[in-house]
Amino acid sequence: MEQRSDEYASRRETVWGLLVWAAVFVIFFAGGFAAHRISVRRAAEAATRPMGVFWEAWDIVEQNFYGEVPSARVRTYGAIRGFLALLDDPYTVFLEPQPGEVERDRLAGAYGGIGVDLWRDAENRVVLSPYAGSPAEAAGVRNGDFLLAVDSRPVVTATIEEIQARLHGEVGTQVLLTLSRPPTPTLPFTLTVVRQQIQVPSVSYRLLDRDPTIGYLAITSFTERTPQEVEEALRALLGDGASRLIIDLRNNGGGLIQPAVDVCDQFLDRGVILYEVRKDHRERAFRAHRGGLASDLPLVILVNGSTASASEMMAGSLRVHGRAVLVGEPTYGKGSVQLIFTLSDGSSLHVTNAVWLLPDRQPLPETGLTPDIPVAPGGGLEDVQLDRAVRYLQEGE
Amino acid sequence: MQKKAIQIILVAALLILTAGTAFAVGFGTSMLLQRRMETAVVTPAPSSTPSPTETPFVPPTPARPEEETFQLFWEVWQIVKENYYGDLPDMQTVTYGAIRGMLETLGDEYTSFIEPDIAAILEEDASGSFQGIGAFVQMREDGKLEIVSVIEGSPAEAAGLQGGDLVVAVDGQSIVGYSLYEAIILIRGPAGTDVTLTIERPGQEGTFDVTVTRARIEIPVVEWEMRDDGIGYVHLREFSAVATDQLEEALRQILAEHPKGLILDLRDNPGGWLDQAIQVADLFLGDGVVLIERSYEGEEIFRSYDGDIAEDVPLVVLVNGGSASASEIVAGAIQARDRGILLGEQTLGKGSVQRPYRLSDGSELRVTIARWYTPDDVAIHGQGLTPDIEVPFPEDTPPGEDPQLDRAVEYLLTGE
Repeated sequence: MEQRSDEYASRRETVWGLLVWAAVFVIFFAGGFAAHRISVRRAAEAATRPMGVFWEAWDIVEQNFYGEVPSARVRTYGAIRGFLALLDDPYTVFLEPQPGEVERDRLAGAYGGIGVDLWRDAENRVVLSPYAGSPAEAAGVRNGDFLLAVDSRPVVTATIEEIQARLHGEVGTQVLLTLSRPPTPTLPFTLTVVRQQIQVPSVSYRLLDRDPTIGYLAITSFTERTPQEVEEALRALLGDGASRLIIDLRNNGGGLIQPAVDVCDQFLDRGVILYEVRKDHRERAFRAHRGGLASDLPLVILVNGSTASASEMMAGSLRVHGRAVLVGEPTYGKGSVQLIFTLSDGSSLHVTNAVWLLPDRQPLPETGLTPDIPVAPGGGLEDVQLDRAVRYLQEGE
Repeated sequence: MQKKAIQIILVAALLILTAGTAFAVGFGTSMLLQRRMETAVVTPAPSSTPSPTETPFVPPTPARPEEETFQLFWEVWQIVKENYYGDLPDMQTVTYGAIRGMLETLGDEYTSFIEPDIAAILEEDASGSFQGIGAFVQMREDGKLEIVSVIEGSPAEAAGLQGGDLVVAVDGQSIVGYSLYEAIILIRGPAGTDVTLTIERPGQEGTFDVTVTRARIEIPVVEWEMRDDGIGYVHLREFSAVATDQLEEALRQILAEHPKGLILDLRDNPGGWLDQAIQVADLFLGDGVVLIERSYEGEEIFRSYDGDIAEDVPLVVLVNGGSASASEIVAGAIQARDRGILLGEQTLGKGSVQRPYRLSDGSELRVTIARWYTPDDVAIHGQGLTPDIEVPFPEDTPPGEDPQLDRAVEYLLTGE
């Protein structure tokens, strides 16, 4: 009996011992585990040490600044701007989200037009040329019609931009055109056109009526369709007897570079059109191929302060190749490409991803290209820059 | 008994051993888990072009809500790093740029960030003395460092340097094109050491070298003169840590000659320490309020007390658009308490107080922590003080002439 109780007691002691031992083990295991975790976190914090000073400044401002401290979001935007400012590149920029914008467009409804090209001829008449398949064409507007009034308001003293603005309006609404047609230009008639969503071509062209040997080709921007449109325009102009060309790149803000290169290729037979230099000086040359439709036609390119980016490169490249004379005003001066990123909070970031070099390996001057023949726009209704370009082609100076 | 003791020791040893092992195993388990997690994350996405020079930077995981918001910064940083055409500045420069951008959003031009090198120089200057050669310098537009004047009794004066000299090199290293502070860093150094300056002197051919032994230089902030017409004149350049001492010493000498009146010139004095401003004001003022400071900690009233040396002498304070901060505190108190008149032009209007904070890398953050008001509770922030007698200083004033000083003398002599 006694022995048993002893045995029992010793067994109980052993159980207790094991329990204590296990408890100690578990507690210290957890301790060791936690210690490692903490040390890892410390190390991670130390790795971000450089920005540590930033957080010191952040905290000091929050705790001590006498005045209203903007929200963390606003201060973050500020920090981003401060960082980007260091790059000293005016095109790498951060834009805060603008929630109002999309909303506004949606509310305004789709924007429509009638699908015509219009310009003033030598006698200052407004000439129309409907796009193929446009509402204007469907309503009966023909190439060469004169526009006299829009919704009964005469267009005699209006600029081309003002007339375009009057033709634009909400999709589905009507616009009343007062027109006349060449054999009987003094006999006005009216047509009603319903505005529709218009795919505006990036290219418009015609033979100049004052000199039908000159083809006029305006490119408003470089889209994926532009090379095809230019090719069609060139075939049409050459077929109609154009022997020299004026390319209007005024107000062409650029667009995609590959289409611009493809368009240049129509005017060149060989050589480099431009170089693109990316991060880490990785370089890519865009080359011209044989068989350009207009590789030997005399060219004048019209430029102005809104001729930017891809269109400046086109003007600059053709000039370096001795293929074109530039008439007008100094160009914008932006020879770089930006990628646009939408960030997680809806803000966007433009990052300069590459710069372009002209065929002589010079970058585009920051002050833009200086025209060979500088011509100010002039205030009146006539296009003095176009006039000067025509004179250059006719007289060679 | 002994057996029991051994038993206890054995049990204790076993427990300690257990604890140690458990700790090590716990630590090791966490480490193994961590490593497995890292490999799981890292291996599937190896860099296609491994570049050994570039240390991968992993944006920190946010530890608090604000860092969550700040993740947008890292998003931008990552995109720019991967896509930007040009080179990225180093992380320190990025940090400083981010701090400046963040401070910009506060809309307070006086809350500012100063990089370590410049912070060290400014701090030394504000202390009232520094170790160097003892010359006032400025950076010219052509990138050459010009000696404006040399401090009296300084090594620069002893070495024959003079105002107008251009420093083109320091210890053989050209400093043309350096910033002002980069140049100053090279010229300053411990007292007793030598520095060789290459000097271009206007009107002389070529350059020549001058070796100067650096010393501890007390920056003179006070200039004074006892004029023949019986008026004392004292000019305080800035409110450095030695301003009150130097000013009191000058006043002692002027007052010993019993002047008819005193002119305190605070024109172009950009300010300095708040405590110096209060002590300087106290030199001229008896019992009363010097300024009221309001911060988030509440309102604090700073006072002056009877018993200073210049509390009775008729007083005119000269001010202009360059009189700022501490200068405006002194001028504002003297004007508000009718102790004297202000003469000259409207002052700058900086009615805020900044406190300098030293950051861990030696840079300095100056944060606006309070606004101050004159004894009659008028805020001068953005307004400035309007002189009792406005006297312009025309651009075309011939050198050596000072219409404001002349008018002050006239006022003290005639009483109007």
